[in-house]
Amino acid sequence: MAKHDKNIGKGLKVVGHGLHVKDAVEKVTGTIRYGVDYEVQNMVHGRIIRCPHPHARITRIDASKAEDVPGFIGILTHDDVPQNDWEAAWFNYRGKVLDGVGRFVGDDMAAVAATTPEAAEKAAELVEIDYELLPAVFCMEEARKDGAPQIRDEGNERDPYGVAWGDVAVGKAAADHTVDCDIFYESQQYAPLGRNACIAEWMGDRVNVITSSQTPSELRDGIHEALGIPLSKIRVQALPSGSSFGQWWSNNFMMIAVLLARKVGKAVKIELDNEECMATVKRRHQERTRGSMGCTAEGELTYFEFDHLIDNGGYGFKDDVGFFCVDMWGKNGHGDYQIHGINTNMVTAGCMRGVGDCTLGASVERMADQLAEKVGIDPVRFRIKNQIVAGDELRMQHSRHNIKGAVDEYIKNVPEHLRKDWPELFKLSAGGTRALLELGSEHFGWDQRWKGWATPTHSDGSIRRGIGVGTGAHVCGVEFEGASNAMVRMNPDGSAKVHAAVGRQGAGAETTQAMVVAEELGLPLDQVAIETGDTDSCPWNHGSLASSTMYRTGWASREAARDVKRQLLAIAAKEFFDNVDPDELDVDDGEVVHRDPAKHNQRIRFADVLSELRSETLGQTSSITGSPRVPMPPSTTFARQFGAQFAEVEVDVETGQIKLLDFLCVQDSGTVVNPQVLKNQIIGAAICGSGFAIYEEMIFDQETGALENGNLLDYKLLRCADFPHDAEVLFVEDPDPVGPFGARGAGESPIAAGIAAVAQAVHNAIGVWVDMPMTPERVVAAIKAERDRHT
Amino acid sequence: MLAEHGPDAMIWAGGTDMTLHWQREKVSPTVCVDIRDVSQLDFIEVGNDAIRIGAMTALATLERAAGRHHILKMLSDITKLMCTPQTRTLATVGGNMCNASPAADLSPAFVALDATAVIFGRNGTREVTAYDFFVGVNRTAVAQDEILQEVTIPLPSDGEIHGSYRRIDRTVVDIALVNGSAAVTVGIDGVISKVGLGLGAVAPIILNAPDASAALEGTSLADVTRDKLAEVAAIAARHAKPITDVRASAGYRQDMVEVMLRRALEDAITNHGGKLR
Amino acid sequence: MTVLKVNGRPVEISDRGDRTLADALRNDLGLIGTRVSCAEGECGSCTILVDGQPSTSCLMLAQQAEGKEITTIEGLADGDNLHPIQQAFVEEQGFQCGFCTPGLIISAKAFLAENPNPTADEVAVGMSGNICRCGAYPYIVKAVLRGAEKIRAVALAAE
Repeated sequence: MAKHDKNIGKGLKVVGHGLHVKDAVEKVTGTIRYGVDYEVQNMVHGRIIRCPHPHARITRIDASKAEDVPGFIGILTHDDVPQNDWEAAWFNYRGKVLDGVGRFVGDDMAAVAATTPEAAEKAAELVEIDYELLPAVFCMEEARKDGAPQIRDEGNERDPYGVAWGDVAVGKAAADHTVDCDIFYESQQYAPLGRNACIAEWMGDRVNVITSSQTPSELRDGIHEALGIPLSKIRVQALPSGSSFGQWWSNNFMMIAVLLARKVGKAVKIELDNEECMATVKRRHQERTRGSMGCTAEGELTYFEFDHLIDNGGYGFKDDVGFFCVDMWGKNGHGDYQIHGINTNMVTAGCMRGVGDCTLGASVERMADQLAEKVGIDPVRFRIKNQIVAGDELRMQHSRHNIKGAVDEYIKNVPEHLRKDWPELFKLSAGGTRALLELGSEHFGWDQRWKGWATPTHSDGSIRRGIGVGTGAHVCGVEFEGASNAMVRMNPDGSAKVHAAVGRQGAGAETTQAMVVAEELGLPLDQVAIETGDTDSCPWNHGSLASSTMYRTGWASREAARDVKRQLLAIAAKEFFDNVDPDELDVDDGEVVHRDPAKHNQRIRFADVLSELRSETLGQTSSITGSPRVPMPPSTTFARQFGAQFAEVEVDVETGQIKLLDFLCVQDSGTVVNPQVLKNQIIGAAICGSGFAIYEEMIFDQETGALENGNLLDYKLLRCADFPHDAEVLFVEDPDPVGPFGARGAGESPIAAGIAAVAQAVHNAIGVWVDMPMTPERVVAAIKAERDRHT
Repeated sequence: MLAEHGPDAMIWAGGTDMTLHWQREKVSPTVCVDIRDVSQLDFIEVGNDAIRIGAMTALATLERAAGRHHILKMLSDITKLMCTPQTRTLATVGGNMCNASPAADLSPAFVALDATAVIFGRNGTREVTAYDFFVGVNRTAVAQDEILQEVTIPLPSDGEIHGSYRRIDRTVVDIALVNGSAAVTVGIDGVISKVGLGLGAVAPIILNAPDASAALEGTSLADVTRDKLAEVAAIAARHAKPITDVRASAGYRQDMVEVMLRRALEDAITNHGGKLR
Repeated sequence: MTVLKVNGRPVEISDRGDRTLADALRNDLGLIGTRVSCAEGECGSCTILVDGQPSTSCLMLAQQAEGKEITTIEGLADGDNLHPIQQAFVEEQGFQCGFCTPGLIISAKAFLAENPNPTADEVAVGMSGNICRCGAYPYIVKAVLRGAEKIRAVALAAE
């Protein structure tokens, strides 16, 4: 078993430094190209025809009027499409590309191609479609009932997904205090700045797909499933995206572009407009938590029990959302969680940053706070008392299906000698919230500022201020859909190229993956370049999702670099160091050196080693290619990231308006590979979480389920002056035994922590809990309801 | 040109609203008459008896005029709430008025200030009050062959006028969910001689409230209390006929228009140096 | 053809009356640094300078730009030498995905021209016409303040 070495990741040359990101100059000069900026020669433009009804079947399509539009080239209907189901990662989409049935307003029904975007739009409007209207259902509860309109062949509801441990009845009996909840969460929209476009171009029976995607490999898999053609004939060139948060993985419009291009025999570009991006692709689920939680008079949790609904919309197929709050609060001996995924006639819902953390996690945080208030313990101490630290058991292993079974299977298939360096499985390998809460409360001045539960820190006229703290946890990637792979190639000049199919949505992976490789190979960062998007050159990778990029792909990139180093040192030992054991050698600043300069003080440039490179089978070769040579330990069973955040808010109790006055983020993501990149990402999560807490909500038409605020005027995103510009990020770096140089994941725990902190701060300011988003109107209504309750 | 092309011709001022209307197919002109660079319509004049603002004055220009008069400071503060800095350079005062959004920010202030719209047509100019200028959602008193020339804000000859504008918004850049403006004139005798009120986003047009104004007029500045202003605001709020939409419910708007008017009145009295009890 | 001046050079764009300036810059002139996201003046990604004033090019008809001087993000750097604000955005990492960055930098340039020595609060308000969905705001404020310092230093050195 690997020891928990606290010194991993310290004193390194590249890792740990706030180096400028590799694409910084491209970004500030506007030369970086996203999906919308790309063109290929002689391409034509596609436009998707969308369903005007919540649930309807096509009975007739007539394109004769569209054919008269100058520039019209062709139309793709469900009759042209292979009737294969394809699946996006994590069941974010499951269905056919087009099947003649519309399952929400805005669903993809057909597509036209024309020489210009304007002609395509005009032609799309002129295609006549008759529909048979089908009964529709928009509410999760209604969709579960017998006799509800059925949206999918598989039925509306997935098998419940659950985690249970201990005996809840025993935990209830031991509780001195209990609280109940029934909380509904509106959908958050990715509201992607940057839109997306997809270009598909066929060359014979091979297709090349150019689009912004966080998951190049999974997109290739999806095209393979939808079209039934060999993976070898599909090349995805994934480009950087604008803000994505999980929206641009693999999406149905990309499949449509591929099929439309095949139909019309030309390269096709489909660019989604802003409203299409917001109203027809994906969103965070609507969710509802019902449950209860109990603790002793001393404030020790004794049990919790939750029943949680998630709404998948038309094509989502998920049966779970993040369970990481289970682990974080899992010290108590008794728990039972159930999640139900339900389809409705609303736009598809799927994973958005902090899936489950922002909803189920926020419910758990609120209930914990309510218990803490009952026993009179402040929220920082209540968390320290009840949240896990390294070495504690992780509860996700007690899953009713899926996780435990899949992990057991994975472990069983790894030979024992390759498992000897693994950390103890099913226990937290490193970190926890305690150190974050201690550091954060000291820095924030929590003890000086805390005035008690539901007690404002300041009160003047209609103004109340309050402080709050929240915590979040998340896995650092998952292994169930395949092990993320990476390849490193050292070139004849000694420079290195990483091939890792991850996303470039602003999280800096193009830089931080290269930093890991540069560190391992002893190269300066500018000698390491990276290819992230091309599935023809990158091995399969899960992509950037589930906070996996640094942890799982970073592990693979480092292992691949290690493999290169091993080969490099073997040649060097033989050709330059008198056949010493290669383990006596090391790399330093682009040169091979002996660890003991007294024995060998020469320094041999990598390029010189490579010039001696011989392969036993090929003779002279010119480069070294490395890949991971050992299996990665199953990280869901031990690795977690943690965030704790502190907030001060000001509420106008007369108007319900909330201002964010102060924010502090504390994060444990293990070793920080690039502090500048990570601080930015953590603050971004706090801002996105704060937006979810106070403004962001998709408003749907009650009669049709159509999105009513699919624009940035009425879908409110926080702006620069809406968030404290002096917000700080502090790190606690408890290195991970497996992650590259001790690094773990980062992207998702901080969004959950911010939401809980803002919600609690508002409660402390005004004395009532407000359901999210805490819009001015909801705040006023909650205050009024509380006043009415007392009179 | 307008007369020649009839309803197919549309006036393009800054174009910030019109481009959107056109993209959303709310309008489909065949001729756009671009008047943005008509310099004769781009002016702010401060006289003894009135402030005149040309219709093609950019919001950004009005924003920078704060130092020229305290009423321009009030209007400048309002423009800072409107759209974004990079849209304020394009958008114009006249365009904003002629777009006639019920949630417009300047319009309630113009109504409260009892401003006059000067409309130019083939037969010369005519004047309507700001209150009468707004006819419905996106509809004004300007006829097809006319254009708005300027807005004139009268200044009192025997006293001083102070005003304020309040609104409910969400993020720092937003459209008003509901708004209210008040303008209070105090004579040299210290008695409130005139009260103007403007209520926005609570009806298809900008409302005024003569009965509420009357309830405060004639009161000595020294006698004004918070309770009195609350009473005036409550009377005014009775005029509101708000609807529920994606931004807010009718009930919230109804409650908040009263709060906004009360706060605007309090500001106006405070700006006069009144001490509120 | 309509003639306008973009980044100091006269250029021609098609006479079509039905397109926005942003569209013409991107598609006729290949100036993709002018980004379009919301296309309704909310996000600020398409911000350019029109006769020195920051303007949302998605809300302007291309024809309205006739005879005007346009500056886009492509016009800021002097060859390989980044503009001081661009340099400051690199140093403070005032971005994540980078989509909103050109619009922000142009907004910052206009803002600092009016207010060369701003407070952080003023910067935060001044940059609020641009949405950064990634949420790099605190680093954007730092970048603009640093950009202001650099510009002042250059001006001082020139005196």
